[in-house]
Amino acid sequence: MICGSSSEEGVKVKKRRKRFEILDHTADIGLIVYGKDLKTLFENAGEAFFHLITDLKGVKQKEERKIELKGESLERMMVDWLNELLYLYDVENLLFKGFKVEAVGEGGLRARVKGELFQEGAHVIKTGVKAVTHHQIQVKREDGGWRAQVILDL
Amino acid sequence: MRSGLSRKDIQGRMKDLVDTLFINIPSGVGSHRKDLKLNREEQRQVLKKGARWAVEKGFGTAKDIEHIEELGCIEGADPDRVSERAMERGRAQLGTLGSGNHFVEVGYVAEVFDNDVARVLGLWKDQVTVLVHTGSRGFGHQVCDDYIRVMMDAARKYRIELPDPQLCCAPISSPEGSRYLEAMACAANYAFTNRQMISHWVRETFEQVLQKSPRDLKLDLVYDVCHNIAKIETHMVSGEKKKLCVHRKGATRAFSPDHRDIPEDYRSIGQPVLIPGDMGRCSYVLIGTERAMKETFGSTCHGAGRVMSRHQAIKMAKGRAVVREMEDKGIIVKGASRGTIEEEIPDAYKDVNDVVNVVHHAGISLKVVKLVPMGVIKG
Repeated sequence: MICGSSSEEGVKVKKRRKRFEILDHTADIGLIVYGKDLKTLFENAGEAFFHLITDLKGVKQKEERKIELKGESLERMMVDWLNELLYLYDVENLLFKGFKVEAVGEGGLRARVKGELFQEGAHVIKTGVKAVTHHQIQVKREDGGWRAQVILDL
Repeated sequence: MRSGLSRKDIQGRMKDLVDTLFINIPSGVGSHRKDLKLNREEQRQVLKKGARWAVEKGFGTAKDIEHIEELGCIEGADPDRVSERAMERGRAQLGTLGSGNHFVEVGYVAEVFDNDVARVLGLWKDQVTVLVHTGSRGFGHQVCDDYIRVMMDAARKYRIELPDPQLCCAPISSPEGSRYLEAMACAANYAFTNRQMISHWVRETFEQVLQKSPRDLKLDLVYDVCHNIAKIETHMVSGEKKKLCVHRKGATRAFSPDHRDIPEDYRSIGQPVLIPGDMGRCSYVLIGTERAMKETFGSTCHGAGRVMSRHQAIKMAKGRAVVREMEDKGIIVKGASRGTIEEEIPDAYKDVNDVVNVVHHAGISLKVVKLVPMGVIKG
């Protein structure tokens, strides 16, 4: 079902370490996210998610929201985290760009996210995400860091 | 929807129609109808009554209801089974189209395969038609997400081994199973309402642009059918009548002639089945058969199906002027953004002609007419 990944979508940071890439999936789309630690992994996942939805260059960090999630497994928390962001986008029309994960572990997640209200003309919507799924979800250690895979329903 | 218009009647008007449809029917990608405010109690009524609620509020007519699967309302919907979060997401999105493969398409009957059945459905060559494809929006997804949690725990409780966490489940007769069905019915009713409202705005758009009365336009609902749903139905299994839960995912109902669950005026021909193709090729109206009742619990395909991922489609569309390409084919397309149009390029889909020929030759539904698009709006 997974046809392979494309590398050019992954945004590079200074150390040229890939933060995320897009995974092809026939009806849907997947994200592969990397992070040196769990906090960075979740922050990068948030960014990858909104990179899919909009052009982040046009988004300013005007509004802040606090997110707190109760934990169970890291996999479930990854889905919950992105679903929480999707919920805020759906209900409040907020596009997020800045992600600060203050604490994350099996016990839960606490984060502050910054972004702005969607405005027609100022922002483009590249794709609509319907839901974040548990299908083939993975969060695991890899090469001294962390790697996550999430499939989104579009 | 069928109409009283021939394609000649709207010649040169398609751009106006598409532009006005795009204004009147919000995609939900940041846009909403300013005149639609739903309070909590009203939303509960939407979930309980489905399309009937829409008709009571002036969206469409009572005649529409007769041509909707389950008369536009699945029994047993219980809003108390739905989370506050789903209610909030639902409130913001009722009366919006959504992105992905959702659309409103103005087309015409390009080919008639079965004259007698087409006549009963009120369809004729060159007639203008409108297809509406949308569903329960974020509301349905939130219901799903909420119950995935319930089902993950339930699967553990009932010791069901899962190959993938997304396939979590519970026995239908368990408390978790029945609660889910009551919540799912809410989502189905939300979807019926959503389509009913959008159909109403399609009619208003035609009246506005063509300056014709509803009586001249005759935009009547041919049929409204669910695409992704589980229903409790009675079918014959090895010669015995059995009550089953039929889950149609990526499938649609295709009941045979004489089935009591199809509208009276269609009972002699069977249930209409709507198969949207892609925005550049065509779509089909089919009819359900006895063979479908025997072989597929009265089900058939629900669309062309993708052959290319959205990401591949966007890559393929790179450097191409997709809207212009479509215009050259005589199809006006308007979407919320370039990206949402590009991921839906015709190349990304299987040829619906091939797909429909398979179900036609398998006999689980039969071709009635082929619809060719002239104008499309997308989220």
